[in-house]
Amino acid sequence: MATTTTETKMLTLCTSDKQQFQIEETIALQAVTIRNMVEDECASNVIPLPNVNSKIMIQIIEYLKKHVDSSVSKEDMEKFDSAFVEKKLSEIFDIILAANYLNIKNLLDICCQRVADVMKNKSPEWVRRTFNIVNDFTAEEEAKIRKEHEWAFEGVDED
Amino acid sequence: MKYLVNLDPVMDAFPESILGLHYYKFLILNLLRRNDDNESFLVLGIPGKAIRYNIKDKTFKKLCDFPPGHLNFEPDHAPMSGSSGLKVSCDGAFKGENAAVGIIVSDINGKSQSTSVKLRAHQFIHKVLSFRRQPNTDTTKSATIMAAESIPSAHRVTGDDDLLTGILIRLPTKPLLRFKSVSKHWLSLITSPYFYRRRSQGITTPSGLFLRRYSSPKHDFIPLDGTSATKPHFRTLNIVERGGIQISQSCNGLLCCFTVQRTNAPCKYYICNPTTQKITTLPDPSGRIFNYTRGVQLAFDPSKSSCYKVVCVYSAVGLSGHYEIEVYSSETGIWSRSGNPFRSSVKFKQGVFWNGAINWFSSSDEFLCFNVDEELLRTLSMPPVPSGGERRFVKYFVESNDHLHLIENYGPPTSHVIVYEMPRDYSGWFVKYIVDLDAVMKAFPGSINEGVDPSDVNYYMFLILNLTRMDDDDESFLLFTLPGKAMRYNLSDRTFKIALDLDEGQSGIAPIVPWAVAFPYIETLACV
Repeated sequence: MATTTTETKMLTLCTSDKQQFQIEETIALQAVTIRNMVEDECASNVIPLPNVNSKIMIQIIEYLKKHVDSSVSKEDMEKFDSAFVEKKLSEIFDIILAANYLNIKNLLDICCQRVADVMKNKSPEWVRRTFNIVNDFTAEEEAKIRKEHEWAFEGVDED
Repeated sequence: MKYLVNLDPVMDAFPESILGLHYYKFLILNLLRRNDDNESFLVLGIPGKAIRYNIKDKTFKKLCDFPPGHLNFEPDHAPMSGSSGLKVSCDGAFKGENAAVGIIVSDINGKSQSTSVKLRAHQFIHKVLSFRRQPNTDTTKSATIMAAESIPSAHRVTGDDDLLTGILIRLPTKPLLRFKSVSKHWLSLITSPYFYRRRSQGITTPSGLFLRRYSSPKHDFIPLDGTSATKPHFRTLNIVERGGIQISQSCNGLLCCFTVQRTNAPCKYYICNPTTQKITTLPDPSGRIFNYTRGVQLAFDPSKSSCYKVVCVYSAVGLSGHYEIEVYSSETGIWSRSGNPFRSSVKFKQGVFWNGAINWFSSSDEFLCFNVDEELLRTLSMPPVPSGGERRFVKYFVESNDHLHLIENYGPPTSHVIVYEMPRDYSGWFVKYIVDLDAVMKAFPGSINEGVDPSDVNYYMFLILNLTRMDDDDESFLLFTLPGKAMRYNLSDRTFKIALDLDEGQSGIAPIVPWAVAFPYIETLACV
């Protein structure tokens, strides 16, 4: 690590609830959206992030701080990631939306994987209820699709 | 569909564009495609502003301000839709890289105002999307009645096809099949060719084998991934066996099957997806009327296309020793003849699809391949019979993980087999493995037929079922039967173990038959 006398450049991020976060530029620039804003010079000192609230921003900064640290081994990083996604699904969804907006690919990937892991032994009913999806099949249509893949309904978690 | 753009974040950032629950004020002023598609963007008009929206990374920013009332957001005033509407044109005069490109916006009264906008587009396609009020089908937005445990923000994730796809492609096949019944939208997403292509990248290793029973149209399932969690869901290969049909080939997850005829009636051919349990009957190739069909092979490469082709070889009518080829395309649904009659000594009954071609072996020196897209036939050579070898015994011919293998030995009978591999440029066979099954045969004494002379082809009672190449070559393995069992032999460290105990009906296979009796099962959502 080269130590220079130059100051660490800081960025200020402003969340939807008007909270300001001062973070090192190198950490923030991992988010492609922020990088583009900085490169295009369309942002002044304060970068508005109207799609992210402060509660989610805190978690995202935690993630970015860890991932900017090149001294962390691959194994430790994986450990960190798997611990990071041990959250309630509602939080994971909020992070997915924020990661998608901020364009942080790795974070989006691990959160999508987390949702898939939670879903994989669930029933379609659980999915509809949890994700608030309307079942627009007729009873006959649904029965037909289920019958085609009867084996896929074995070993499903109790709701 | 090229892009599906969800403008929710833009609307949220500029609340003036939200008029009500289902009504948004925005216009699409232009779409600019760049050489690098990552840089393509939309120009949006919202009250008082023009917004640049990068389609790929979904970022957006304000380009310029418009005077109040400058844009008309009435739905009828779709840009470019008619003379009464708002006219948007793009000044394409500047084409140099990083040149400024302006938008000329004419208002309803015909007064035009040139708005200089720094777009920095170097490639310019004058194409305006039709006016689309985006979220008018978004029923979830108005859904206020939510089950207690439902997640408030879930609909914003599952309502975005990109994000939903990002989640679903990470699911194993089994839950995906289950989630087809969640809703019509999920069904169409999971069964779309795009979803299938995105997901199929990387899944090439079989999770099991269908083992054809000797003298009965039954198939047993041998799991290969070793986890009891994926217990064989194929108690039977229902769709296939119900019709009394047999598998003739497995190709990247799809099976080519045919009816077993006891009379001389011509066979019917089918393409079947054992994962989704779908089966389709192929129309009859013209060679069938004479029952001259010699082989029917499937060519399916999900990394290139979600469509497949079928190659049928039949004896040329009235030309002794000659063959002809017809090719069926699932895209067009028709058979068409390819090329002229030709002579060959290969065994058309078993072909292997690899490297864009159907490949056939022979017990002589000839090896034939037919490039399915170019419809080109090439004659190549089999590996040379080594000196001292009496004759060629082809033990197995298989593609695995994009490698083509030929497994042979040469008389007199031996427990050695040589595994050859063909490079993709067809420059010639090379020896990949020399496998000595002697140790295995010694460990299982019943595998040597003491009742016959050692020079008899049935002296060594092993039959190769499959060779699976893994990404990590140390894990590649050979699967073969001995009387009463299926064995798994690791090609790298030469360890072996029993993969499955077989009953009599399963292992009573004539050991010298080189035809495939085992067919890899690779999970796929491909349509048939």
